[in-house]
Amino acid sequence: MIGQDPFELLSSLRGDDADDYIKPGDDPAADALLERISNGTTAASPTPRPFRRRRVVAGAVAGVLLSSGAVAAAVWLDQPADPATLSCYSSASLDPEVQVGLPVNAESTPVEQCATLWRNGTLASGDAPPLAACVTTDGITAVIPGDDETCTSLGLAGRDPGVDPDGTVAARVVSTISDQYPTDCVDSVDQAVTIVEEILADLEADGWEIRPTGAITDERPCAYAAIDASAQVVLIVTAAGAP
Amino acid sequence: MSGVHADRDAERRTQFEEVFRAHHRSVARFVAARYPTVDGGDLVALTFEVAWRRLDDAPLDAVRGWLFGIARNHARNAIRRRGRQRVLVDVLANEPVRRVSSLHDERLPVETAERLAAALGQLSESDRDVIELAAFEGLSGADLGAALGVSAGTASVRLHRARGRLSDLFEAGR
Repeated sequence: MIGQDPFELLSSLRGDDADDYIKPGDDPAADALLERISNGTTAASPTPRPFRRRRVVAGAVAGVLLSSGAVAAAVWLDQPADPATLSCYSSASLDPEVQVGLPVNAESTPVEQCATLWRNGTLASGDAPPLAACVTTDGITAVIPGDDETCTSLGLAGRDPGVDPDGTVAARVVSTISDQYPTDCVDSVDQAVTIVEEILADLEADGWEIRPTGAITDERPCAYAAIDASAQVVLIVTAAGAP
Repeated sequence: MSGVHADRDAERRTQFEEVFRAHHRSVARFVAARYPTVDGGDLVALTFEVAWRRLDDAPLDAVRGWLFGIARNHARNAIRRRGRQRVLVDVLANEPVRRVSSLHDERLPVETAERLAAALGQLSESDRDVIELAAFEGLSGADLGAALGVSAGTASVRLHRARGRLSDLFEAGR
């Protein structure tokens, strides 16, 4: 065994990974889930998030440069479609060596959050370099070493530092539900919906949907809240008690 | 609803059903093995709910990896929601160790399993990710790239480098 490639050893632990097709009737629970997803979402008519309007800033500077015949590099600013997720990159690359995902902290800024990971050595050792907040094509905030022009050079928009009411609310929804939703088992879907309704009402989070996805059963005795911030949906899911 | 829209809706449902029936079991296995501290049923349901919404974005040559990528993102979100980042780091750091340890009696000598677990535990999170997806889940090429959110070429390079670092750590543990 000594001298064997550890990757091959790990691969040898893999079980049968055949993609076994589920025929209708093979697995009633899977059939029910399929039905629930395709019917439930269709009934609500799938509503893809609208593309956020992009805008070009530094227009006056660009105008001057263009009028003099020079080519100006415009800085694109955008708001993240998913305001609750943040990704910290270890280098100015779309494929950094280290990439750490975090929930957005409404009390801080993306750059400050990622700077902390630089300072504590999670991303690299040493002080935090100058950092820029960009918006990826997936609509999440990515904080990378550099400045707004670095975002542009990577084909990304700079993150609009302006106040985005939707984004601020979404981040607060995520953090507040995480903090306030009971850690003990909530044994009623209706109760879970009420708890989330109250949190959303307190936050004045208009436009959010609460969507129960299952019933309480012996096997799934607790109701939890799962948040899809980009779709502004709080799913109430039932599951076993927390481990 | 117009006839054109009805046809498109039916076509979309058929496409989703194929994806669901072909990959539900492998996603469920992946979730159960990889994220034992997250409720597997919920995670599978959330994964396919997102897949339904984003069906138009599904890479036809890498649907399995794409689904794994969705599940990974949701698992991490679930773990984050449950606690603070420290919890996320602890959970992610301990899961591969637990997984190897749980199998050593059947397949590997204890000493080898412990060295593997130690080597995995010392890898960076990104290295560990790519090793686990390739070794434990058998992903390669476009599927591996889709699961990691990078191109197939980048995934291959990342795997090669991670394998090298894993080998170094494994040998250093002798």
